[in-house]
Amino acid sequence: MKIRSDIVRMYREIHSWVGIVCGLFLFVAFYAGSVTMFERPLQDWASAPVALPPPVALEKMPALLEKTFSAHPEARRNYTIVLHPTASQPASLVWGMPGRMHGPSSANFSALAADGSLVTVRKEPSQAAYFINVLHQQVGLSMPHKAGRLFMGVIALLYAVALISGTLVVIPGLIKNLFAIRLGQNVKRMWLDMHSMLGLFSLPFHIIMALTSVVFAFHDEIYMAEQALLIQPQVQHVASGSGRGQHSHNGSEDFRIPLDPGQIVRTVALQAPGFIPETLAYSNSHGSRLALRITGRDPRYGARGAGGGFAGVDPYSGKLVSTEYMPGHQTWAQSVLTSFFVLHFGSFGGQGVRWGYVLLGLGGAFMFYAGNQLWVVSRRRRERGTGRLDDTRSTRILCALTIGCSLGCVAGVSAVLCVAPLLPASGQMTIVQGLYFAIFLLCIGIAFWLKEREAIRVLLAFSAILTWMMPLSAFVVTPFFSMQASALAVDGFAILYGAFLMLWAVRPEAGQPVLRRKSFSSGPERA
Amino acid sequence: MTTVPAMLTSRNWFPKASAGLVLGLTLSCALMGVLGLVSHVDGQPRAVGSQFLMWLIVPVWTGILGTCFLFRSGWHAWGMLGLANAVLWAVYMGVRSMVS
Repeated sequence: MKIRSDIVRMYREIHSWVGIVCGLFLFVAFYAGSVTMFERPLQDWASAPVALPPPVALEKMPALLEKTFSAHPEARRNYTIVLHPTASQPASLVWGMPGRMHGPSSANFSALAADGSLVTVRKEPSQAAYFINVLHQQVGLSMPHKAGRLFMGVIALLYAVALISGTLVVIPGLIKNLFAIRLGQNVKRMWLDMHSMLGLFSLPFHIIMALTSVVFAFHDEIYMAEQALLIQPQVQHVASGSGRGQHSHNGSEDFRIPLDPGQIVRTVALQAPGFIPETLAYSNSHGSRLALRITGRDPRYGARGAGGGFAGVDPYSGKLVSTEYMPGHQTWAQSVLTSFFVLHFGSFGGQGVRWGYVLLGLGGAFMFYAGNQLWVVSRRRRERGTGRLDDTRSTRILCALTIGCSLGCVAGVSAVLCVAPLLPASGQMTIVQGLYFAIFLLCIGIAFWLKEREAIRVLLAFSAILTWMMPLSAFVVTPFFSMQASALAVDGFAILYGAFLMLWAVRPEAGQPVLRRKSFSSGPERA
Repeated sequence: MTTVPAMLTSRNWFPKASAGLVLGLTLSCALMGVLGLVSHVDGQPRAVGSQFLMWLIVPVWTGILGTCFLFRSGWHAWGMLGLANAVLWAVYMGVRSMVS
């Protein structure tokens, strides 16, 4: 395909400037996003064991509910039955959560002792995995929720422009260079090839991420505009009228007794075969009537949320009342909408896709890192061309920031995870935040202080050691024999990933497209 | 175009990009309004139709933002996108007065 050379040149310049502005934010977003793909296993891994009897089976749930309600009447307001308890949700009855939750919050966990007496423990959840998720959502900054969302939207818009411009730059040489990674003679050329190839082969992934992120950032504002443009007075009138009708209809069911959780699970299984329920979340906030939301997943379908979908169930009859967000029970239009979310979260196709998303995310992070490094190298080449022997200050600053921010994020995430099992129960978010940003700033400081090659090595080795300490701190809290399989998998992966970082640190020419003598004599290049 | 096209550079990026950012957004809002009126979406945020319209804005907006650099100049970008805005908003007003 042919594109006019002035257009390609213009887009190449736009690409490099937009890239330099948003590249480091995107690095953190992608790196933290890859880690967030395993938010649940990490949450379980970081949770210290609790002194509770084994979880109560579903058949004995009515007894547990009755005992809990008579001892703690306030538990009726808001309680959840966990069908598959894990280390982070160690009992089958959880209650006393705050009404509106942002992230994991403290809750009461109830179980029955061997003699049938009620045992209740209040537990603060680990915030480490959630902190990394927030870091992902706020592109590596710590801001109030709304400001962070809008800032992320601006970065996502720039990211979209970088994608469009980058694609237009690569297209003209597409056929010639498609599989070419020119190894050897010119390291910068090789990095450029890797950068373009990563971008091109994961382009669909990046397009999805850019568009969904812009939507996630601005959807409230767009809905406001939409309402202003489309809602008409008589429509509002009709809507409020039908709402009132529904309320009076609901009122007649107040005195009925809800079904047992086991019956609910069986009735839902009949209505939605293949749906694997995970929790039954009851709430009593709408007056005296109980509402039930059943969360779960269906391996054959993608789920709207990162962790699964949900359905509204009538707790008195077990009938499905709303299946808008239930995998496999959506209308065609709803499942198309769900697919946009599914493609962002990678919540389809099981573990294979999950790992694929991790690789695509890490590949994306590396692409941004390589892009910044290429910018530094081509700037440096231009400066050498004018006879300078050392870098200008701006090149030096950008180089140090690239290394410091990227590897600072890697080290910071590893540091947060490495202390996660050891943290005190309360005030975790502040500690975790403080720790991450202290490590992050420390790494930027090191990147400015040391020569760039040494800085890369020191920071990679530092990250590797922090990653290797993850299993150690987990073993301090949870003895080896009582560890669950998913926690051991996290430990194993931490050791492997630490080894990968360490190998990269030890290898010469780590992490930079170095300028060798020879590359000066090769043909003119532009980046 | 009949004459030799002008050479494009990234020098005058700001007027073009700001046109793409501002007028691209208003243009996609107008498009949302027209499509919403034509397809009788009532703008309730939970409704499926209004969710689709919300998703529609973003590809249109980012598409304009990414390609607005192809305009010959900043004036051209503001002029053309402004004209497209005027047309679509006029259509929106017209359809709205017919519907209500």
